[in-house]
Order: sequence, then structure tokens, then C-alpha cells
Amino acid sequence: MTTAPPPEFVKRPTPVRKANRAIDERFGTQAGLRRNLNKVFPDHWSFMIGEIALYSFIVLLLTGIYLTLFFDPSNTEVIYNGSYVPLKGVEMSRAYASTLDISFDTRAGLVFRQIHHWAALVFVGSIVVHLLRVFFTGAYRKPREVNWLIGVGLLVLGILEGFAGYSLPDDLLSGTGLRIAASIAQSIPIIGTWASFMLFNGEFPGANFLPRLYVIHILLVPGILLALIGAHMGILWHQKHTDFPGPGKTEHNVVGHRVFPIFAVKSGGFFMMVFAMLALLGGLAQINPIWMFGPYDPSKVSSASQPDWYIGFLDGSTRLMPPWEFRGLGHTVPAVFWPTAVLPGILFTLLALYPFLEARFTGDTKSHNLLQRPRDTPVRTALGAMSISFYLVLWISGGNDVIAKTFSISLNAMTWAGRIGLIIVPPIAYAVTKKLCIGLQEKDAEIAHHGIETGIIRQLPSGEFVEDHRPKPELVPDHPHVPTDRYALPSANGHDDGHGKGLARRAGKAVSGFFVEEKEPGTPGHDTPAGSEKH
Amino acid sequence: MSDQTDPGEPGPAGAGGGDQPAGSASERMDYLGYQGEPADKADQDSMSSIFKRAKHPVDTSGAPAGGSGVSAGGPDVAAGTSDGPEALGTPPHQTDSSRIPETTAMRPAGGHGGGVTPRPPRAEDVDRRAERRAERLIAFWFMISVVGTVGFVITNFVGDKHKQYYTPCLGSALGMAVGGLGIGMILWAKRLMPHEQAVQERHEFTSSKEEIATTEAELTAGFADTGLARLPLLRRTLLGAGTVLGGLVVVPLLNLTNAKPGKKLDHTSWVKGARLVTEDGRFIKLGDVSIGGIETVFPALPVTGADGTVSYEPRTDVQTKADSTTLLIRLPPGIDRPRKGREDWSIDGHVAYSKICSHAGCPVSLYEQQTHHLLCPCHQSVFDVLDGCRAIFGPASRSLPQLAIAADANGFLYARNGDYDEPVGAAFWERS
Repeated sequence: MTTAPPPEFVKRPTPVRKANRAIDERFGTQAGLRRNLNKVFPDHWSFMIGEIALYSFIVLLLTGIYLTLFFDPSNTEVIYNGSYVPLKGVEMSRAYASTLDISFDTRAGLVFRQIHHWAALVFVGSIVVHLLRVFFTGAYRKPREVNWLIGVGLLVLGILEGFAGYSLPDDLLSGTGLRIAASIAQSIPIIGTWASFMLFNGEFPGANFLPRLYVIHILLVPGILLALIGAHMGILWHQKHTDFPGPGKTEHNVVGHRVFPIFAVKSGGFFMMVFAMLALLGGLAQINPIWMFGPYDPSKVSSASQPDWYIGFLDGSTRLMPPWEFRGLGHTVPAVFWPTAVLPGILFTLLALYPFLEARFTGDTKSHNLLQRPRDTPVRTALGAMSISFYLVLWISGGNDVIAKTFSISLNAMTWAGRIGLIIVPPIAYAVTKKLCIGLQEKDAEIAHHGIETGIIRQLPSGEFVEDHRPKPELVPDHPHVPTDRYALPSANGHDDGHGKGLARRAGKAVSGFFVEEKEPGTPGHDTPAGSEKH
Repeated sequence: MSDQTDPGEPGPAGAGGGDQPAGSASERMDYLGYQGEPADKADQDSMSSIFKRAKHPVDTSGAPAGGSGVSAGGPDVAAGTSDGPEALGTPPHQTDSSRIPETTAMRPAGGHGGGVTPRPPRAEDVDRRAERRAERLIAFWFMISVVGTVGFVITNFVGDKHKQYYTPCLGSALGMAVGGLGIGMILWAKRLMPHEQAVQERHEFTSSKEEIATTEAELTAGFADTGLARLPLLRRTLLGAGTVLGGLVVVPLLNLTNAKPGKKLDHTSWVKGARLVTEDGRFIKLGDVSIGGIETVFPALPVTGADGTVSYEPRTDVQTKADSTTLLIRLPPGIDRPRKGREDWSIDGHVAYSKICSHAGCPVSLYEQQTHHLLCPCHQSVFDVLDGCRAIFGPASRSLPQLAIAADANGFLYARNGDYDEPVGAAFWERS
């Protein structure tokens, strides 16, 4: 191609250009600005999950700042005299009273409190789903192991932050959670008692513990989270995003949209959508109605106390743990130590080390920018399914009393099912997933060799019936496995796009527009300016 | 720059100009083709070292100042590597519009460039009326956002915050306000902005051998300059001082609590002679609890007044409740199987056990009258009241501690031996 001459230097700059030039005179921004605005981000719906986590974090910051203006993290006992009649005259901490005030007597208080809580659930949830996406596609491989480690740190801190947050209102549910947390801290061998006393400033419930928890929740952990998120994004920006293999995509390029303008506008829109979803949830779906639990009282507990979802797996592991308490030599290692301190320690360590373990066992020391399909890595996928099933057994067991009550099952049976399930379900998940992956690989290979079944049965003149196969599509030189979901399969309706008719067709197309970014052109060539480009 | 000229490649302006509004992507593409040249001045890339500047002889753009301005410091090793073009890990794809690193090659929509699957043009690309329709649709969503914002403000200030509708209206209005903007922006990007398949080359992160060697040499020389290798006394005292300073971390940690654990976990507020009192301040007498009944009780500590009379001061503050909460259960006569040595710890079927679960400290609050089992709602530990509150299921492994009680002459129940004879609640390292 011919190089175009540089655009003319505008002699009479508009205010925006003036500002740009003023900044450039001071910082020399133009080349870097252009490079960053022209950065290309690939397009795939699954890359948005991490964005959801980021955006819900921003919503958490915004709503959290609002809540700090009204919340009083004080253990001082007061007599409630707000507008929630059932609790009038009840003695409670100022923390609980101010949470009630936020919920009933502050303009837009309840909606922002509920958005904050929903955003926390979505934050941790989207981190987990994002982690699964990264895991199953092998996005954590070299050179991105550090970002994987940061991500694991973000997950752990997100869980801690969420726990600290829902413990702040000092209601009955959160106080019970803190009591268990104190018992867990106390259970650590040798340092446990000191750890618990240092955390709570004395024997549980401690002296002026809530201000301390408040600092952890609004300063310490968010600060670290913010720094780690910054590092996570910075590394992503520097290393460029991974992408699925596809036409024209290689290990050495990125195909997609530039940051400015399309990616920026789309991402801005996604942020707004996440915010809108959280706003709707916060306005319409009640969450953590602390006024129904009452103030914390160590002598009371509500039945079916459930923590937020991301703590559930620890609750489950605690419930399933057999009563194995080590006693001897004048010391005790409580049963609660193993499922709540050792188990998550092992789980998160394994999670953090996984990229290095995989590289060690596969001997793969190369850098990778193209993602893998889960079926192409059966062992990894099976390990992932195994881990998920392990986690799910724990998580379901965290609500086994609710399940037992709802379905009239014996609670003991639920506990035993969980204990046995924890041992036998993961290996089954491993075996089944591996078989499934290999089966899918075989199907891919068959398509590659014989083409795609069309479902069209033809009778030959000889009377023999044969099924037509579409010839296999051309292999793209960059990657031997073309994902089958990009094959345009023949459809019955004649539109050739797999959608139905009328309104349903339009709706289907609109929805699939969010998921399918690239389609084979329906009739090759009709949209191409003739001879404009050569292959 | 000569290596940009690829005679076989028609300019993207020719390819994309047909179906795009003037002044959009096609013009910017030419601009992009230009953009790589003086890229070094503000290059903050990790590879932007003196080497890179040296390898990018600034030939045409006339900005040599950029090349020399930042290179202060470090030995001038660039001279040896300044010949030859930039050797990237992979040569750029031949269909890229430019071979300059950090250059985004544009593939116009509908073209067949570089194997990137093209997309068919949208109606908005070829039909001015369709474009107007899309514009109106997006504007509609932006207006929804305005309506939502106005609704939020009105609800916030005019609405009655004690009414049922207040929070749902605020949430819905805020959802409209940001959601309308979000939907509009996504539609705007999808329907009105030019489809592009931008291709950008990646870089190898590995630095060149000479760069690694030079960096290592500089660091080694710098380390040698510190003298740490030559001067062992310096090295050892520095390490020692650092370690001691690091150990200082313990101080603020220990300052986190003024209350040392000591034997605090071994004791509760129960003392000998303390009466059993309910939360609302009623002293429990024999007969207050019916058979099969259960009551949560707290200590009321005996206080001897100046005139020698004894009054009882109920302790129902949070601190006391956290370890002294006790369950008083009245069992039907004759079914309790007291442990050895505890035969006289109960009176008339009344038994008292700590309510604080021996597993994780939750209040054990579910009592099943038929089986005389106590269930902890937190982790489903089950305790058999008849058998000294032995843990019979779940993660708890220790019985609930029993409080010895008796009745005085007036029938008031009191703690006859004082405190529990073992620590209540969750176990800990120092517990034997």
C-alpha cells in the first residue's frame, strides 16, 4: 500500500485539540496515546466475564462510599428509636442501629445498601466464572502465570472482603459468622488463641472490634484489591489479551476492535449494563434484611443461618468434617481447624500453583497466546470438572439443613451423603469428563475426515440409502482445529442461519448477535468490492 | 519509509470507501499507516530501551531529538547494535498495512483480508434510512436514560422513604438511567460504528540476548560497586539490622490487643452461688420450668451489700453472654443418666449445660423434646442431653460442659460449684 502523508497540522485548534497539545507539551503523550488507543482487543462473549467483575467492583466502590457516609461502625450500645417499629426500644450496637437507619431513614439508603450487597455477590461470582473461563481455555499459560496468581489473590481477598462486609452490620446472622470466625482463628495450633485475641481485641466478642473490622473492610482490603486489579489490568494491557483460534488469528497477532472508539464505547456500555442489572437487583430483590434478624446476641441464633454464597463451601466442609479432634500432650487441635483453615489453604495453594504444575508435568515451556478448547485438553478439563464437583459437594453441604428440611430428608443422611460424595463424586466427574472430551475430539476428527452430517438421506438409483455429508471446510493454516460452532450448518427454514420465523427469528438473531461475532458470509463475494483485495 | 510500500496491496481507502461514510475508518486507516514512525519518544514499552531506539533509526520523520533525549545513563552500548532493521520474533503478516510494530492494520468490513473472516455489511452500512433508524433507536434508549435519571431524582426527593414503593422505584429508575445509556452505547457501537477487524502484531516478551547480557552486566557492576560482596562486615550487619527491623512487625501486631489470652478462655462469669436468671431478669425457681421445658439462663452474681444482705445482679451483657449462656432443661424424672461424680449436679430433673457449642461456639438452640437431643443450627452437631450432652453426630467431638446446680431454701436455682469445670465453646491449642 502507499503510505498516506501525515494529516495536516491544524492551525486553529479547537479547545479539545488545545488541551491535547497542552498536555503533550508537558508530558509528550501523542505516540503513547495513539498506541494505547489503537490497542486491539479480541471479541468473544466469554472475555466479558472478567469485565463484569471489574464493573461490579466499581459499583462496590461507588455504593460503598455512599454507605460509609451514613454507617457508624461502633460497638457502643444504644437504644434504637428509629422508624422500624418492631425494634423500637431494643438495645443494640450503634453499628446495627445505623444500618437500620440506612435501611429505613436514609434517602436511597436501602437501595444502595442492597446494590452494594448484590454487587459483592456478583463480584465474587464473576471472579469465579472468569477463573473457570481462564482455566478451561488455558489462558493462564506462559506468559500469563503472574496474572493467574494475582487473580487467585483477588479471589481470596474478594471472599475476605465480602465476609468482612456482611459482618459489619452486627446483626444476629453476621455476629454468628464472626463467632465461627473467632473459633476458627482460635483453632490454629500454637498461635490460635493469640491470633483470635489480636483480631478481636480480647476474648470474643472483643472490645471495639467493629471499628477494626470497618478499617479492614473499607481501607485495607479494598486498597489491596484496587492495587491488584490495577496490576491485573496493567499486565493484561501489556501482554495483550488471549484469543481463540480462528480464521486469520495466529499466536502472533490480535484480531478485534481497537480501544478507541468501538471497544471503549462497548465496554462503557457493558459497565452501564452491569450497573443497571445491579441497580434492578438492589431495588427489586431484597437481600440481607438485617432488621428481620435482630441485633447480635451470642445466646441466640436463627435456624438455617446461611452465609453468603462464597462462604458456603467452607460451611459445608465444616459440616462434613468428622469429629476428629486431636487431644494429647496438654494441647488440642480442634476439628474445626482442618476444614476451615487447612482445606482452603490447600485448595487455594493448588489453584495458585496449577499453571506451574501443569507446565512441569506437560513440559510445556513455550508462550501461548491462542486459547485451547476444553475438549482438546482432556486431562485439564477433567481436573477442572473434578475440582468443580468437589467444590459443589461442599457448597451443597453448606445448605444441607435447608435441603433436608425442604425435601424432608434426614439431616444425618444428608451429612453422610456429603461425606461419601466428597470422596466418590470427584473421581467420577474426572473419568466422565475425560471420556466426554475424548469423544468430542473423535467427533471433531470424524468431521475433519468425512465432513458434516447433513441429515439429508438420498436414495441412490441402486436403491441404496446414503446420507449426504457436507464437505469438510477448508482448514485454516493457523490452527488445525476450526471450532465447529463456526460452521454454518444447513437449516430447514431456508434462511441458513439456524433461526426460526417471524418474531422468534428476529429475537433469536438479536440474542445470537451477542454471542456469535463472526459468521461465514452467506454468499461469498456478494459483499466484496470486486478485486479490492487479494487473498 | 520504504518497507511500508507494498505494491501488491491496494490501499484500504479503496477497499473500504465504498460502503462507509466519508471521514470514518478509511481516513483513519491512512493515518494509522503513518503512526508508527516516531513512536519512540514516549514509548514506555518494556522493550523501549536504548536498543530499540538504536534499532529504529529515525529516518524520515525528522525527530532525532526523541532518540537521544532520554538515553542518559548507562554505558553507550547502542553503537554496536544500531545496524539493521528491528528483528521481531515473527515477521508481520504480509497483508498488514504496515510493518511498523504497534501498528494496527485495518481490515475493512466485507473484504477478504489476511484470512480474517469478513462480515457482511449491515443495513446501516449501505442504507442511509437504516442508519437513521438505528440512530433514532439509540437516541430512544438515551432518552430512556434521561427518564430514569429524572425518575430517580423525583423518587429520591419527593417520594416517601417509608413507603413500600420507595426502594423498588429507586432501583428501577437507576436501572433505567444507567441501563438506557448502556443499551444505547452497545447499540451505537454495534450498529453505527464501522465494523472493523483490526489486526495487531504481538511482541515476543523475551529481550534480545545482548540486551539481557548488558542489563546483567550493569546490575553486576552496580552490585560490585555497593561493595556488599567485598565487605562481609557491611553485608552481615545490614542483614542483621534488616532482620531485626523486620521483626519489629511483631510490635504493632501485639499492640492489637491489650487483653492477653492468659486463662481467659478457661473461665466464664459463673461463680459459686450465682443464681440462674433469664434474659428478662427473672430468677429461676424450682417449678418455673415445666417438664420437657427448656430455658436459656445467665448468671446473676451475688453481691453482698453494706448491711450484709445478698442481692443478685443479673449479667446479660454481650461479653457475659458470649461464654456464660447456659441451657436449663427439665427432664422427665428418672431418665437422666448422669456421669460418674455428677450425680448431684442436677436437681429435680433440672440439668444445666453450656449453650455454647463445643465445636465452633454457636448457641446450641434446637431442642428436640422426644429424643432429648440438642442440635446446633450452625453445623448440625447433635448432643444427647440424657447422656451428659455427649456429641453423637456432626463435627463436634466434645460434650457440652455441665453446670452443677442446686436449689436454695426459697427454691431459687444457683450454681453450686461455681464455674464450669472445663472451658466452654470451641477448643484451642492451650486446652488440654
